[in-house]
Order: sequence, then C-alpha cells, then structure tokens
Amino acid sequence: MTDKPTELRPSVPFTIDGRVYQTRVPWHPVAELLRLAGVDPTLYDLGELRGQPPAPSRFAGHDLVQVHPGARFVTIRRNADVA
Amino acid sequence: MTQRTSVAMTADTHDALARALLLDGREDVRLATYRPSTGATRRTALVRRLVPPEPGELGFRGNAALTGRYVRRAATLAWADSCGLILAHGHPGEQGWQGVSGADRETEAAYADLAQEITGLPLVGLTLASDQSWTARHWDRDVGATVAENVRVVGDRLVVSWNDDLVPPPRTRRGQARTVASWGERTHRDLTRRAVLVVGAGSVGLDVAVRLAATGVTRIGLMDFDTVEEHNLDRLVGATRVDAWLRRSKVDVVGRLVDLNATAASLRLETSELSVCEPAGLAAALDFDVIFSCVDRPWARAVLNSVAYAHLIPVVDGGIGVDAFSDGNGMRGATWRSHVVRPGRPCLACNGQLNLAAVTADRAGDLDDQRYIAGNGGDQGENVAALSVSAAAGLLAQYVSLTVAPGGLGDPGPLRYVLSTHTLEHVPAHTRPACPVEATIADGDLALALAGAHHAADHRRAARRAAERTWDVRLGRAADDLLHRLHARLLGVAERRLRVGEVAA
Ligand SMILES: [Zn+2]
Ligand SMILES: [Zn+2]
Repeated sequence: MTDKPTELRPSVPFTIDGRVYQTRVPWHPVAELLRLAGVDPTLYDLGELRGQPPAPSRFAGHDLVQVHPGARFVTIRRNADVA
Repeated sequence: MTQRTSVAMTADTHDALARALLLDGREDVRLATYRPSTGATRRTALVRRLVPPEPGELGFRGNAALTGRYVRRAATLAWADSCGLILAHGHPGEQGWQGVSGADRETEAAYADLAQEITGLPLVGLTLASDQSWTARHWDRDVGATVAENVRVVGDRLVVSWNDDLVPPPRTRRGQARTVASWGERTHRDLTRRAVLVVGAGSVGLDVAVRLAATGVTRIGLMDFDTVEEHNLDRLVGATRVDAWLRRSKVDVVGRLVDLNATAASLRLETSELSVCEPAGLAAALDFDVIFSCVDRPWARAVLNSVAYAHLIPVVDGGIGVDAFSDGNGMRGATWRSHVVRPGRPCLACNGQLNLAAVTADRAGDLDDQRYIAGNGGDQGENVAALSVSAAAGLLAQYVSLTVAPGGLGDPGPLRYVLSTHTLEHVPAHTRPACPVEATIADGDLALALAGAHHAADHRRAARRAAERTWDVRLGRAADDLLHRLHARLLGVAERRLRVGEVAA
C-alpha cells in the first residue's frame, strides 16, 4: 500500500491577477507565487485583496503566504519608468 | 561669461542662515561658501556651508561689521573646498527683493577682490529681508555687481524670491481667470515665472508640457533628440501622420502644441534636440528652475537624478508600467508612479525607479539590443494613451504640491497608483545617509559628470537631417509649414477680435 499524503488535502483554488490556480499546499513563499504568476519576484510585490472595498494588503519578500480557498492575489509592479 | 545669475540653497541652509541673520531683529552678517553651477546661459551659486564667526571676528559699528580676519579665514576654508565666498546680511523690518544700499555696496565691493583673490571665484552678496525673501548679486572682478534674477530655496516646496526688474511678473489675461481664482494672483505671478524644462517629449512629456502652457507658465523648455514615428501616434496626442511622414522632431511637434495651448501673454519656448546625457544638453538643463523627467531611458534618468541633488534643481519624475499577460490574452495590470527628487527625499535609485545596472547598459548602447531586452524581463515599453495621461497627471499634481503647497503641504513623497485595485500608495522609501547621490548636495560643477557622447542621439539627428534633404519631405514640409503659418495668422485675428469684445463688454 502506498502512502499518498497529498491527496488527503483537497486541492484549493485561488487567483493571481484574476487567473485561477490550484494548490494542495497551505503555505507558499511570496517569490514562489510571483513566479507561478509568471513575473520576476525581484521586480514585483504580492498583495492579497482583503476587506470591502478590497485593498491589497502586502507581503514582505521573505513571508510565507497562507493560501485560503478562493484567496485573491495581485502582483504589483515596483517600477514604472515608461514615459 | 554668462551674465544671468541666480542663487539656490536647501531649506535647511535657508533656516540656518535666517536664524543667524535675523536674530532678535538686529541686522547681522555672516559668511558662507558656495559652489558654482554653470548652465548654458545662467550661473547659479549653490550655498554650501555657513561659516560661523569666531570671537572677535565681528565688530559693531551701529550695524554689524565684518573684520578682514573673518573674511580671510572663511575665504581660505572656501578655497580648500573648491568654493567661492558668500557675504550674507539681514535687513530686519524690510520686505521683498532689496535694492543694494550705498553702504552694502561699499562693504561688498571692499571684500570682493580679496575673496576672488583667495578663492578664484567671484564674491556673492546675499540679503535676507524679514519676510524671508532673498536678494543676491555676483561680484566679478572688473565687472562689478551682476544682480541675480532669482534666489531659490529647495525644500518640500520650492520658494523663489524674484527680481522683478529682470523677470517682471507676467500680466494675467482674461482667459486665465479660473486658473488665477484657484490659487490667487500672487501665487500665479510666482508660479508662471518659474522656468520649467520638460525632458522627454513622449506621451507623458507632451501632456505635461501642454498643460504647463495652458496653466500660463511663461518659460518652457522642451528637450528630446527623437523623431515622430508612426508607432508613436497612438500616444502622442496631437501629432499626426503628416508629422511622421515629414520626420518632424518630437520637440517641433510638441512645441507647436505647447504654443497653441499657451495662455500666457507671451511664452518663451526653448526647444532642444539634444539629450540631457550630452554635456551641452546638461548645461541647457541647468538654466531652469524645475525639471520634469519624462524620459524612458535609465541614463537620462540617472543624469537628472544627479542634477536634483548636485545642482539643487527639483526634478519631478515618474512614468507608467503596463503589463500584458505573456500569452497575449488580456492585461495583467498597470502602475504609475510620481515623485519629486530633491534633497530630503530618496533619490531615484533608492526609491526603486532607477536600476543602476541598466544605466551602465544604456551608456554602452546595449538597451537597443533585443537580446538584452529579452534577458531582462522582456519589457518593451508597453504604453496606452488612455493611461499615460494618468502618469502625466501624477507628475503635474506633484509639481503643484511642490510649487503651490496646497493646504500648506509640499511634495508628498513618492506615490504609486495600482490600476487593477485602484489604490494609491505612499512608496515606503526613505533618504539614506550612505547614498552616494544624496551625498552630492550642492556639489555643482564638481559633481561626477555622467554626461558624455550619446550615439543614439547622434544617429537620430543624422537620420532626420538626411530625410530633410529628400524632395518628398521638402515639398511636404513647405505645404505643412504654410498651413501652420496660415493657422497662426488666423489665431492672431481671433486674438484681436476677442479683445474687441473685451473692450465692448
Ligand atoms: Zn544691507
Ligand atoms: Zn539614493
């Protein structure tokens, strides 16, 4: 009998910039989520939409982020240098 | 030798001098040091350091009197720091720009030669009135006093003392009534006299320049080496296919729009096809009181970053960043930023807007290389006219806070607007004592020169000159110029007809 611990935890859906992702792991480093979204963690911040109206609360670069079912994340660009 | 002169200092230096010069209503005198900042047509003395008198160095004969010992010691200190000498005194009870009395003239003239002998630079005389307004003059050997056109104090707001004889207050016109009513006649006369340079005549620079003109600013500079091309037309609002066909320079096209939208009785528009990275472009920039940085490239941004501290010219910088999803399906988000760069605020590298590695690549000419772009996040300068106006609005609002201080509050610090969530954030960036750029306050002409030959700018100008020699473009330009001249004539007629209505009403 093989042990399949990951299947004990249901797959959790969440969004980054409106796109849906799934995870079975409750905690993720910020950089991992940013890379999952397809952006460079050194150039973008991660925010989670909370409250009403939803404001993006921020995570520090080294934080571990708890991914709740239905959590909504946004990437936030640091520099804006096109004119 | 450039004959236009000016003086600039930080708000901290102003406070230190004001405490010494106007203490308990007595007329006092102090010596200080300055570094020259030499523009193409203006020389500015950047006040660097107050030299407090030692016991016995000030005598009192009715009003404060200097001693030769104080002058010699301060001048020697100035020389050791590659500085010139400033002789500052207070005029308690007086208001506004001060004439130079016979006694003041005698004192300053008496020490001018000694100061120049020791420091190699002309003595600068400064007078502070009770209402905190300054008056200044340079004393060049064999020339005498050259009175300054203004004295600028750079803090969370820019405070300017004006010499009305050299820069008369602009006449306000009926078409400006709503603008003047927004901040009052006095503020309007001050604001519209401040010479503003817009570096970069792209989507953001165009909007900024046109709105400065509509606000009534009387001296506007435009600097850009680039040519209008078809791929610019979705953002350069007001530029046309004709301009792209005729290879018009961006400053020509934006200059035309600035002229059309100006509300001042007379506008002095100075356009330059240089890059601020070229030594002559940098010198031209040093003639202005405020600079808008509407550039795309890190090198130009680095030059302006240095100017803000080393030459005490506040730089209003910002821009936009747009992100598409990499699969080409929809928009991820956009951010626009705005900030005033000046002593007391973090520099562009410290606030996250400028990547120093990219400056090196830009100087080496690597930024036009597609492989470099692909290897560094693949940013292609995405931009949308519907949003770039918000970046311009952010810069203009920073400029109003710096210039007018609504509610008594000056520039707010770096701001960032996140489009997807519609949130405005104060960027958590602070000044760093260890920052090499922020350490160059008032270094002036001795600041590390970031300017140099700019091959991309040379190439653009040469391509434009070549296109101008073709028959196609020459004929097109002749027709286009004729249309613009006719339009200018019609505007002249409209101006006269409106004035007839004004008299009859
Ligand atoms: Zn006096
Ligand atoms: Zn810095």
